[in-house]
Amino acid sequence: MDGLNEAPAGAWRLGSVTETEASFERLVVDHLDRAYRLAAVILGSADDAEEAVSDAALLAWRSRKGLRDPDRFEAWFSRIVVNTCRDRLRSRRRRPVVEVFPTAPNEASEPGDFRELIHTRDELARAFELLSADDRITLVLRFWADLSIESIAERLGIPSGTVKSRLHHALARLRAGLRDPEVDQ
Amino acid sequence: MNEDARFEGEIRAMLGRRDPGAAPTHLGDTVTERMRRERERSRFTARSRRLVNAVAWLAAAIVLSVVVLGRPFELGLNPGASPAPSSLPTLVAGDGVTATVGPPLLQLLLAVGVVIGLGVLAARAARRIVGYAAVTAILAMIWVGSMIWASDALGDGGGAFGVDPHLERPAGFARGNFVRAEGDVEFRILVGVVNQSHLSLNLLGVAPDARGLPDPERLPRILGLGYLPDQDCCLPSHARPFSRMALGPGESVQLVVLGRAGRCASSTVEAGATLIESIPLVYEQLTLLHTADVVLPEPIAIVNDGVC
Repeated sequence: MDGLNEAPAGAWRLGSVTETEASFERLVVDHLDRAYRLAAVILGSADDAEEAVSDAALLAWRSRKGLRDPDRFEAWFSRIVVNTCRDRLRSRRRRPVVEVFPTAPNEASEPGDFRELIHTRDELARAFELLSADDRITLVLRFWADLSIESIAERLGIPSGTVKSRLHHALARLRAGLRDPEVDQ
Repeated sequence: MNEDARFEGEIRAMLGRRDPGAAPTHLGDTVTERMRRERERSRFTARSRRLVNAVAWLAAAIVLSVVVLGRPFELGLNPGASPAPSSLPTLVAGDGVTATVGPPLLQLLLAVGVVIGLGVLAARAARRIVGYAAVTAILAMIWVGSMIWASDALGDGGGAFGVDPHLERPAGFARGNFVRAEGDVEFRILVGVVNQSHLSLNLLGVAPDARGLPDPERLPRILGLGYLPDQDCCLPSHARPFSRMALGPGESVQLVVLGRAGRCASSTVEAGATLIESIPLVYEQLTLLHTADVVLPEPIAIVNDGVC
């Protein structure tokens, strides 16, 4: 599983070089791939992810003086990307948009029950779409990015206890959504 | 594998399917271009902000110095008055007569520009203290502007008042301080004026006669301005030619107005009288020129013969 805890080569030891604008631009560009993938997984749309990452990069540029430790760039930029995605998800809820997600290709791991597996995957994807922005982000950071509770807390700017609680409730709501797809999350 | 682990595995798989892989190649170009434009915009904004800041701080400093120190700024305006006396020169016609006043368009435009600049600074200041300073400067400018806009800073100073040569009030006239004159002779009015505003001003002189009479020498008219030094109160003959002088709030000066009575003036044939009720004095406050009609404690009257 690709996660956010993999560092791109050469991006972590720039130190004071990030003080220059050109170096900061390079740093952002170096992290675009993982930012784009994170945004796409959260938003479920490649187009939205492109726009979100582009906006996040601009926000990062404007607030680059807030980055005191260049070694923390990845966590700092991820936080901006996550916040941008949260805003977009909330905006979507205010302006209901019907999102159509392609059915996942057959990847049955066990012969014999692939139909149930496909059904479960569809239902899971739909249930995930019904979650709140915060629940989605917490699940993505935990199960897609494989981040620890502490790392998630750092990226979201909330205490670890809140992350644990949010994770627990997000899983519970996801299960509830699977049992009863009509439940408004 | 227990139920929780299986569920988490399904979530991981579901999220993994949402991962589109590497970012499209044009995303890097888009982001770089947006940052480049932002860099150029922020440089332009920074330059503009520095300029606005400089203007705002300059305006604030000017307003603050005016309010705190109460001193006017000398901008080299020449009132056309005589130079300061060196060996007791006498007052003659033309002394202390200064140019007429035009509308203060330049100052008005400058003030509006500064207020707009301060408003922009207050709205966009990154630091709250700068915003507060800009708002304070705007309020101070409005306050100062309201004080200097009207031409009412000069008033009767309550000092010595009289006219020379003097004539006892003829019978039949209820009021007036009469001038003894036969024909177009000189007379002098002694009057004190005071700066009754909260800001200092520069007294520039007396406004020229703007009546445009076809035969001006026929009637009384004002021809010049002088002043009495403090130690010389109160003989009009000791008047010195007026030159520009600063008056702080509440300060007063004893002025001598030089006039001529006109060819029709008569102290013996009492057909009627011409009254001088106010003196048009020109002053400057914060580069704004004003003409204030200072009302005399009692009208100066010149009797005419009714024939001339």
